[in-house]
Amino acid sequence: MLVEKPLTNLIKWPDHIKMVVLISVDFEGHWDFNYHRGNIPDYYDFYEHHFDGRRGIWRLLNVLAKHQMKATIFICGAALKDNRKVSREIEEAGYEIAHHSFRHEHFYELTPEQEETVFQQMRSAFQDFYGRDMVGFRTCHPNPPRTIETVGRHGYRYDSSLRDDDHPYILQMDDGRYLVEIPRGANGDAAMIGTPRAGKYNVPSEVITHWKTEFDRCYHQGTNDIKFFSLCLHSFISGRPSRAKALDGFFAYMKQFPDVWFATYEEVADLWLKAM
Amino acid sequence: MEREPQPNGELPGKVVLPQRLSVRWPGNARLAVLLTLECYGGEAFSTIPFTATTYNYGLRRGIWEVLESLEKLEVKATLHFPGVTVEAYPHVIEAVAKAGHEVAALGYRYEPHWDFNEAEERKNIERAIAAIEGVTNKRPKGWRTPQARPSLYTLQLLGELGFVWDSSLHNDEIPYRMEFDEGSLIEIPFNHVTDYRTYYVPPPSPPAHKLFSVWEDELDVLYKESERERSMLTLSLHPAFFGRPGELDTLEQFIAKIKQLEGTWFATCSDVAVWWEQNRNWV
Repeated sequence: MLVEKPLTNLIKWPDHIKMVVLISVDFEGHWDFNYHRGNIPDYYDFYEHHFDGRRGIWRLLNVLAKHQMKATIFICGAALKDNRKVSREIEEAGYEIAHHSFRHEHFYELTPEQEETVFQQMRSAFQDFYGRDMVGFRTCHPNPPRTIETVGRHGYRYDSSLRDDDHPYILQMDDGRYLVEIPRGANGDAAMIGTPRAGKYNVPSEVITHWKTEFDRCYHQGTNDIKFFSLCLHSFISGRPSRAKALDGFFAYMKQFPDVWFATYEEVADLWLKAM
Repeated sequence: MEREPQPNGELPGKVVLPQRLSVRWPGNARLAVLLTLECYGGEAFSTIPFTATTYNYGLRRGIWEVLESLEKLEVKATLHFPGVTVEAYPHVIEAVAKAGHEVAALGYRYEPHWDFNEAEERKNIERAIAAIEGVTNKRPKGWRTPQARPSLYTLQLLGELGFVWDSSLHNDEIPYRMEFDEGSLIEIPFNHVTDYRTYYVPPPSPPAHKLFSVWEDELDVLYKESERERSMLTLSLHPAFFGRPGELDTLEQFIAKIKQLEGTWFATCSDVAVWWEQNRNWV
């Protein structure tokens, strides 16, 4: 069982910061697609997602690099072997890499045994490819609290699957160990989405206007209480040209502001753990 | 014939990708621009009768306006018709062919192919071919699967039945080759951002200037990138919507803007497919 614990000490923030920005990319390498019938994909959806590894992730990485933007890249375990080149380049470019399930499973459709198998497959895939485990985990489709307990049991430092806060918080497991929950937040490129499941499309520039409103609010409220602005991106969405352009403009906007800490999830998790 | 998806879910067939930086267009153009239209009315799909009249606008009025604009702007386009639409509007198909645009297939009816077995799929494709050949005296070279939802058999059968190109898959920004046991195809991708269905199905649709602001951004990014990497912008339009005065006016301005850029190439899908086949040594 996971129990939330208050911090023992104050957070030791870097000097002179007004807010924290967490940029993350869910790189699924096509695995987040709908099946039509049995093992046969809905190929409209499949090939939209297949753009992810073919072109989308490359364009998104270019936009991040242009602004020297720090980011945490959550990768599906099954995507590694089909996307070897970009998975290596992500490592070499110095991004934090984290786990993003194996084949983008919906954990609420799985039995506890199946969930455990997925975690093992995922960790094996990362061990095989990168030769190491990562410290963070996110799924777009958790079955809380069970999946979060599984995350804790597998020894991760942080989970980022929930949406119930802007700020991180500490969960304690039965054996006394801590797991940091860094909620994924509501801001993401899903707001721009024009894939068949969402069935609607927002003009990217209008979504950016909304993000600017949120960012500005976080920045100006930061005098007494440092705010978090999290942005969850997907390369099959933001890798399309018009979205990448909008994102480019938004990154330039954020970078104008002094005293913003662009952090990785690992850096934030460590800050929280040090306060226990 | 392959009857299962590949282990990672992909359609059967061997994908042959070019070396990205070695891709060239004719006349050293940097950006290929493909205007593709999906032309069908209420005869081609199951819908409530008054909705059908929206689509019938495309064959009754919209297409003539679009053809006039394309002539004025001196650009060629690829127009897809389901077999039943060809049978219902032969004079439209004749006019399109006579104006020098490419006539291409869009299934027999406008419906997803995802539930057809191999025999049904073959029959659909053959009926689509026969409908077009019946009016133009030529077999279509190209195909788009309605709703971009092929069965496992669609592309393999197209390869076998002599199609040169397919435009159903959304996973790239330049063409690529697919090879099957019998035959091959050049795949010419488009995607949901450049597809009228994303914005018009279901209604309400966005104002034209808002929609085209997105497509201008698509153009802007692809054009800038094309200095280093040749690329392709494929738009999918329906004359029921883009033959309307507001959309057509904005489309004309968009096309005029593209024509002013250096190194753009308005091509039909066959133009692109034939060029790709002839230059396969990029691989």
